Amino acid sequence: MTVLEIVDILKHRFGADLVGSVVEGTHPHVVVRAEKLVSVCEFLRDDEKLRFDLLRCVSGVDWMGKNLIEVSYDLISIRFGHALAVKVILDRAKPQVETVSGIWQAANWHEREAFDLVGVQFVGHTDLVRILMPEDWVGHPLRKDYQDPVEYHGLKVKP
Amino acid sequence: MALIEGIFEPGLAVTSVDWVLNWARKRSIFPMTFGIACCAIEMMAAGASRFDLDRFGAGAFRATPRQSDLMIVAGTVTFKMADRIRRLWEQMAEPRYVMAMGACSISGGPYHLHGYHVVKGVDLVIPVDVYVPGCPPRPEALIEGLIRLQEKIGTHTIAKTRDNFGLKKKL
Amino acid sequence: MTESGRFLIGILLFAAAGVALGLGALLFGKLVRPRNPGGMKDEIYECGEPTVGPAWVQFDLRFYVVALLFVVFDVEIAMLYPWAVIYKSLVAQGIGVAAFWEMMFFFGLIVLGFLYLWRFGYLDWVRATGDEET
Repeated sequence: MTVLEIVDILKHRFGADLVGSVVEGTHPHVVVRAEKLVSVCEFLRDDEKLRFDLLRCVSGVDWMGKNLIEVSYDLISIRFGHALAVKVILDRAKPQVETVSGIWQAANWHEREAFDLVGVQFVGHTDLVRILMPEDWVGHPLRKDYQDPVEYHGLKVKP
Repeated sequence: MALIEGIFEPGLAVTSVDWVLNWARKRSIFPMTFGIACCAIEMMAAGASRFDLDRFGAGAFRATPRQSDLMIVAGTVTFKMADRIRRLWEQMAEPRYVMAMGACSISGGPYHLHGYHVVKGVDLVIPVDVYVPGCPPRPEALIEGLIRLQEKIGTHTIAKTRDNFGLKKKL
Repeated sequence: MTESGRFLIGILLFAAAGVALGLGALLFGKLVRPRNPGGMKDEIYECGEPTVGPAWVQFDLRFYVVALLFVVFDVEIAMLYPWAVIYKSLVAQGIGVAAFWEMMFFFGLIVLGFLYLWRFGYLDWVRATGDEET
């Protein structure tokens, strides 16, 4: 199936919840409302013609200029071979979205990484703790306004 | 400090004992397997058959710090790992040595400028005796580092010197 | 010096040399090794992590059951050996049948205990939990 057909199916099913879509270019994606993410993802995984059974990546993007944080979920179907990304746009002051780790197990660690590095809270996640940085680290390193601390546990942080 | 250290003036007997002790220690270095990242692959290659480390007496890798002499820090040191490295080094028994293998453990390597999770060199955490540059260093480079360490071990003396005269010097 | 006297001296010297070798190695180590106790060095090793809780925990009762069973059967085999050795002479004396059935009675009692353990699941390594047993 082409991306256009997949987006059409989604538009038929979800109507206004599909806020935007980009079908050309290197990263074809749909943008959905954050509240509807779980139902869209369940549909994408379970629908007979779509069957997006593999979540490849969950990435958090910090748009400091627009005061937004975007989370993108890269999906691929092993059975049919088509790929699509789903994005949600969140408020930068309080980035919160429901977890999809109940739908794809891979999301468990990917969401921990997005929490650790960008600061997105995933509601309903069973174990949302830092995964790369130590547990008592302060700050989210991939935010655009992140500053390194001067020292950590007695170690000099900057070279 | 050992019981016989710092007592005798340098002389023929002392240098002979030195020679024997240093020879025994440098020809039987037990490294600790501390491969953290990619340099571990080259360390394994150095320990395997083509570039055999065992012919230098250093082939018996011990998994525990209690039984090892040399900690080869092979790989990137993250802040999460730094606490553990410190504790493991403290749990090694003297005489203990540290080899920083690869660019990451020498100074942060490719993560030197922007690595937010990387300690910029393991010598910020534990004192290092030998630095082996490379990304990763070839097994021959690791072996050269080992030979330099052997030379360093060979310089140790039990004689009374100006540095340890009356003081308890840590090995 | 008598022959056995010389023999004894030889043995004593040999033993003394053995002890001296061992103690000498330990003494040499004691003299030349560095000694810096204290600090984090005395902590229990757990791959670099600080330990949680004590190391002296109660150990699994399944090991006790296996060890107990071993002791019982080992003693039983120790009883079987002398019987097996003199069995032929007992047959020659004419009491072979009685001897055989006596030993079978002894063996049977022990096997009965073993069967009890087996049937009631005490030998299963992975046991059902209390609330699943009927």
